[in-house]
Order: sequence, then structure tokens, then C-alpha cells
Amino acid sequence: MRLPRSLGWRLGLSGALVAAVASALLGAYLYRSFEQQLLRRDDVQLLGKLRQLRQLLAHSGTPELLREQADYLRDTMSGESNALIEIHAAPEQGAALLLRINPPGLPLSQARPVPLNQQAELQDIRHALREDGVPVALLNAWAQLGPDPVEIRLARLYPERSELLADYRLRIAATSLAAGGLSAALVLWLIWQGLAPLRRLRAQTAAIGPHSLDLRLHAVDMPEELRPLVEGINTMLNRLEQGYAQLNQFAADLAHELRSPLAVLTGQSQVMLSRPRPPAEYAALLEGQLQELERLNRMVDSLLFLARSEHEATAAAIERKELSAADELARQADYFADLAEERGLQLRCQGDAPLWAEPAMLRRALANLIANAVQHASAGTVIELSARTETAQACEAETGSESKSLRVSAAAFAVLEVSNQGLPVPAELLPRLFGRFFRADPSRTADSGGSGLGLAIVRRILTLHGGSAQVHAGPAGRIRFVLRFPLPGRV
Amino acid sequence: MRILVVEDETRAGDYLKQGLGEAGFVVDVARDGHTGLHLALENAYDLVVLDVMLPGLDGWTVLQRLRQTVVGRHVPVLFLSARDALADRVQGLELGADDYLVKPFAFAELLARIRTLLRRGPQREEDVLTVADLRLNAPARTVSRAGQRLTLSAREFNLLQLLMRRQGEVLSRSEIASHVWDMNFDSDTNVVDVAIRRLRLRINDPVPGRLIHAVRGMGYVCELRE
Repeated sequence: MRLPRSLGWRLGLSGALVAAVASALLGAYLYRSFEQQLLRRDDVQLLGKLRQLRQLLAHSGTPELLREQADYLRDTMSGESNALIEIHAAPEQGAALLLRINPPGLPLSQARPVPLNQQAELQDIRHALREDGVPVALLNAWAQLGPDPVEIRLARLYPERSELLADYRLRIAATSLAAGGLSAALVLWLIWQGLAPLRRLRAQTAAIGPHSLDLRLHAVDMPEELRPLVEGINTMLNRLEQGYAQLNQFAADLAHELRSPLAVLTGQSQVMLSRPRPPAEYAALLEGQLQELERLNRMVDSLLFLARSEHEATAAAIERKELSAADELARQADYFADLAEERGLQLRCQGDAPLWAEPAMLRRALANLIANAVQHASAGTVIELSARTETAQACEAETGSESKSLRVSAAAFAVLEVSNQGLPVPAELLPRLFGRFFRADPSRTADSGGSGLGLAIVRRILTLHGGSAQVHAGPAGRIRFVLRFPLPGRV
Repeated sequence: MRILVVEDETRAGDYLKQGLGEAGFVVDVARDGHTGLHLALENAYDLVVLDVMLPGLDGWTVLQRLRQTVVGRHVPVLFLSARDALADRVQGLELGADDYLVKPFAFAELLARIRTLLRRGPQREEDVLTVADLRLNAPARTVSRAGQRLTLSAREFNLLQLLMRRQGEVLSRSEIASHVWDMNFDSDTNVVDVAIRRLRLRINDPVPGRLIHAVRGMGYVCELRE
């Protein structure tokens, strides 16, 4: 059977079922005890009759007298047609039928009678059903008729009892059903009342959309059980609002980034086509446009890289290798050597550390940082590339102890630093350097080379490696980028 | 050299035909899988450029059927796919593709890959490379021009060696960065241009008789031009 979807209906039906079963059980119990009471009362009456009859017979003396007293005897048995009496003489005196008040002709029991010297007890009474289902109580006993012993056979029909009990059953069934129905209604009503906070919640959530993400659910008037849920939803809304705002900002930035170069490309082509020109001019235009298009291509590739690497799975999928930091820094220094020299800059490498990283990503991160440094460094200064190993408890380890080497190998980072001397960056802008499309100097545009995504990619690569990228401003425009790559724990 | 391009995108197909044609190849273009397979079996191509996403038969199926025939068993196939998934690449190579290029790609890159595939086979790396009067001795790591010994840094030597080994072939900037520094990504910096400029100064590459040429929008090539 499929349960209904509604919580209210489910609880309501269960409540109704429980109430109906409970009242039915109670009814059955009451019915049973009522039936037993009824039976007992009738049996006690029957015993009373027997006692009366025994006394009467003891005084009546002879069978003749007995016959005359038949009407009186019937009256003694409360005068109902449902009371049946047969009195037989003892078998040794011929077992003759002395008295018979038995209009329905019911065969009275031949069972062993209660002896003369004994009082009849409740357990001596036998119960049976007539063919038509009317209950019958039967009782046999010896009595003294004058000097002679006679056998009394008593029977009592209770046609009214079945009717009474049937009526009682009907009432109990009706009461159980009514109780079930009533409690179902009551439970439903209570649940409806109890679920009112959920309806309020629904109304509140219905009001929240992309344009009203600042709305929050009210946890104050919520029941205890719902409060964590409401608070959870509110926290989720906070994150969503933040993410949504970032996404909006990003879309706006992206549109802006694409708009200017597209406008330039379009304008250039329009001007070029406005009149015939020598082929060399066309070639120059195409070459210029190609460069711009390549830049846009790289920007889109970078955006794709950022978008794809946002999934958790990417972090698990990167294939790390053990590399030497000194080798990697030397490679970068070699790569940028000519460019740096042209700008009057010096690249200096120092230190070494084992590295655990995906080679292409590591190189990309370092190249982005160094390209950034080369671009922003003042002429005649030195760009420092350094590598070292660091532990989480670096300070502790420095104080020196036997456990030092153990700790170093337990939780170590490879730290790579790129620092350069340039125009000072205001401290409040430092955290934003790793953002997408952020340029410290707003007047600088794509013309100065960068896509504004280089540092965002650096940070993402470090995040994928479980490391961190930080920037620190030193005195007099010295800016220091610090990359921390976690090393696998080695013993 | 005859190349079959199976590509359903009209513009892409057109520019590939033009570009490869101007690079000296005879090019046929098929716009769907069935035509592509038919053409590949009818004519003897030196190479097939095959797009994965095709109307009719997809690229995988075309490749599979091609490899089952006598004609198509050994023709080099270069796969083009918009999907960057590793599984795709593996599937392509397992089905017998010779190389794989993810869309979108730079034309220069495609050209380089095609040339590499056509060049493939037993090939001896020559110890001594010469272009006009420029001589490079790889084992001895020496370079001379018109008999005169030149002093190059390791970086300059590697760069020159790459250009001379692939003489006559246009190398893109990213290809150069990848071969010389193992930097496998496109960079916004003009590191390669600077390195080439300085290399030219070193090998005394004056404007007349210049050996290293910039090819607009494509990259650099080392050859003697009349």
C-alpha cells in the first residue's frame, strides 16, 4: 500500500487507526466482562431457584401434592415460560415423571445431579445453546420429596440475553468507529495547527527569488525542531547571495573585458573597408587583429580553466609528481631571462625544496607570477625567486629539540616566493589582487598585456593542490607573493 | 600530398581547405561521415583530418570502418574534437587515430601536427644541421656561421637547434615554448619573441640573408629565402 504524500494525512490516518483500535479493544474488554457478569447473575438466580425448590419439595410431602402445586411452582420459578422444570422419581422407584413444566419440549440433561447432602455450586451449572442459538443453563440436583428422593432437572432459556449482547456489540462497534473518526478529525486539526509554522515558512520562501536574495526566513517564531533547518536555509541563502553577486559582477566584468576589444576590432575593420588600400595595410590590420584575437582566445581559455577547475573532482584528478623547486625556478629564470634583461631587470634564484605538484600547473602558476613581477617591477631592480621548506610549527621548530626533524617531515610545505620592487600597492587592494579581472591601476587596460586573470589562475592552481597563495607588501613597494604547496607526509 | 578533411562546419571546412591548400596540400572536404568514409576509401590520401561530431556517421564510426579496410588501415588520421575529456582522447587513440587535437585550435598548430604526422616514420636525428652558411653540431654543441664560431647560451642553442631541425616549418610561439622550456600553455607574455630577437643578434642574422623569419600571425620559421 502506498502512503499518502501529505504528512498531515499520514499522521491523521495513523491517529484515527490508533483511536479506533484502542476503543475497539476497550469495547471488547467491556463486552466480555459484561457478558460474564450477566451469566453469573443468571446462574446465581438459578441456584436460588434450586434452593427454593428443594425447600418447597421437602415440605410438599407426596407426588400428588406436588402435582397440585404445579402452578405455584411455576410462579416460584418467576413464572416465566423460559423456566423449565422436570421432577423425576428416583430410578429405584421407577424413575417416573412426577412433574413436567416444559412447554418447548427441550430435552433436559441426564448429567449427574448434585447429591442431596450438597449445596449446588456455580460450576454445577452447564451451559449450552439450543438449535436456534438461544443460550440455555442446565442444573440437575437430588431433592427430598417428603421421605423419598427425587431428581430435579432445571433449565432456563435466555433469549433476551443474545439480543442484549448483540445490541451491546453494535453499540461498541459504533462507538469505536465514532472514536476513530472523531480522533482522526481532531488529530488532523491539531496537525494543521501544528504545521502552521511550515506554511509560514512556505510563504516566506515563496517571496525569495533571484532579485530578492537579501530576504531571510524568520527563525524567531519557529518551533525548536524547525529552527536548525531555518538557520541552515538562511546560511545557504547567505552563500547563494554572495555567489550570485560574485557571478553577476563576473558577468559584468567579462562583458566589459570583451566589449572594448570587440569594438576596436569592429571599428578597425569598418575603417579599413571604407576605401581601397594597398595590400600591406590589409596585412598589417589582419596581423594586429590576429594578435588581439589570440589574446581574447587566451582569455577565454583561462576562463574555461577557472570554470572547469571549480569542480571538486578536478582537485582529485590532478597528477602530481615530485619536482625540485630549484630546477623549476631555474627553468622560469631561463624562460624570462631575455625579457627581464630587456627591461633592465635581474632575476635571482635561491634555495631549494622538494615539490609535490602537477608540473604543467606549477609552471603556469610560477610563470603567471613572474610575468606579473616582470611587468610591474621598476627598471634596474631585482626579482627574487626563492624556495624553502616550512612546517606548520615553524616557530616551535626553531627553538630546537630532538623532535624537530620529525615535525618537519610530518606536516611540511614547499614555499615558493616571488618578490619584486615596484610602485606601492595600497594595502586594502592586496586581497583583491587574486580576483578575476582585477588590476591595481584602473587606468591600465588590456593594452599593457595581462588579461587580469593570471593571479586568479595562480590562486586556483594552489587551491587545487591544497595549498595557498598569499601576497604581502613590504617596505617601499616591495611586493612578495608566497605560494605554499603541501608535501605528502613522509616518515 | 593529398589530405581529406571531414568537417561539417562550413566555415571551418572552408578555411581548412584554403589554409592547407595554400600550405601546399591538395585538399578534399567532406561535410558528413558517409561522404567522408566514401571519399577516404575511393582515393588514396596521405592523411585524414577527422572531426568527431559529424552528421550521419560520427567520427568514431568512420575511423573504425576505415581501419577495417585494406585501403584505410595505414592512412594517418588526425582527430578533431570539441571535447577535452581524457576518455575521448583515449578512445580516439585506441580506435587507431594517430593524433588528437582539441577544438578550438590554432591553424598553425594543426599545420604543425599534420607535418609531424606526414614526417613520421624511421627518421634519424641528424648530428649536424645546416641552413645556408649556418652550421649546428648537436653532439659538440657548437654553432658556426660562414666558418666563424659563435658563442651561444644553452637556451639560445636549444632554440636554434629546434628551428634548424624543423627548418622550413613554421613553429608557433606555444610550440617553441613547449619544446625549449617545457611550458605547455599559452602565455600573454612575449617571451618567445624576445628570445628570437636576441638569437638573431647572436647569429649575426642581418636583414639581407636573414635565416630566421617571422611568419605573421603564425610564428617563426628557419629557412633560406631567395
